[in-house]
Amino acid sequence: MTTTSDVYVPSAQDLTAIAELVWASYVDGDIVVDESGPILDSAFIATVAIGGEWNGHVLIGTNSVAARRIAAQMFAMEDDEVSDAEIGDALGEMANIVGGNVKALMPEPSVLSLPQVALETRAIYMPGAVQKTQVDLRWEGAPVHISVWEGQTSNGGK
Amino acid sequence: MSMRIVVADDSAVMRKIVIRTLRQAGYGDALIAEASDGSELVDIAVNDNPDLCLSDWNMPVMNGIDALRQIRAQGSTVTFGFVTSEGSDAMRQTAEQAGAAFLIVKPFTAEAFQAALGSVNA
Repeated sequence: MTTTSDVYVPSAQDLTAIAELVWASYVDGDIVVDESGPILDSAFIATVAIGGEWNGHVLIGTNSVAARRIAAQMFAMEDDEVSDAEIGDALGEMANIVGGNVKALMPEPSVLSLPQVALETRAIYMPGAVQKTQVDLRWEGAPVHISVWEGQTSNGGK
Repeated sequence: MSMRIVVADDSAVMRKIVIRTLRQAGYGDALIAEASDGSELVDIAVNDNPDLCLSDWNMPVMNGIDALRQIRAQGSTVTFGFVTSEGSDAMRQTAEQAGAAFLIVKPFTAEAFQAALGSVNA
């Protein structure tokens, strides 16, 4: 097992580059760094766990408007047509793709979990995990938060 | 005769995006079936004899690599490619050893589909 101190930690620049790539591929409009550090007071959060040589989580959070719009654009539907299930599917897939690209930066072998999505939550707790990197972005006026957490996963693996 | 393609992914939105990308890549005439996990994929691949399987790796019930192994174990030689968020050298090697023709990493472009599918004349 690799110790935590000698493992590369994805930088905010890494997370921004991954987000730019993913957003450019699946939705309209640029995603940009927001130095003001927008606050999510009612967040739609998707996480994936990485388990193996390195253990941790990748988390994406945004607000209800952006979550709905992401789903609508990915499904090619109108904003008011998408269901909660479709929002969860789309946000989970975003987390899966960002997580897969983060996993590529981390020591192998490891496996990526299926995503978990919380709609309209105020906070999410991951016992034993410590936030290592965070980037605050803005897309179509809405905050998008991406972070990497290090610590034992409870559901890493298949 | 139209090409028959199976798209397997547990995410409905990703199946939709893969199908949209196939059309953009010039496969608009293809007849497309969808599977939401590896078990469904095996059923379709073995029973319907499609021309191409495009599968996610990480899925519930049965993942993509186990599905590929089952498909080969049942005698199918269908062209099989992964479309997955992970593309490590180890995974590419595992995929190739199991009989996959290519692995496309998400996020992808229509050009990536054209290159991968064109390379196997799928």
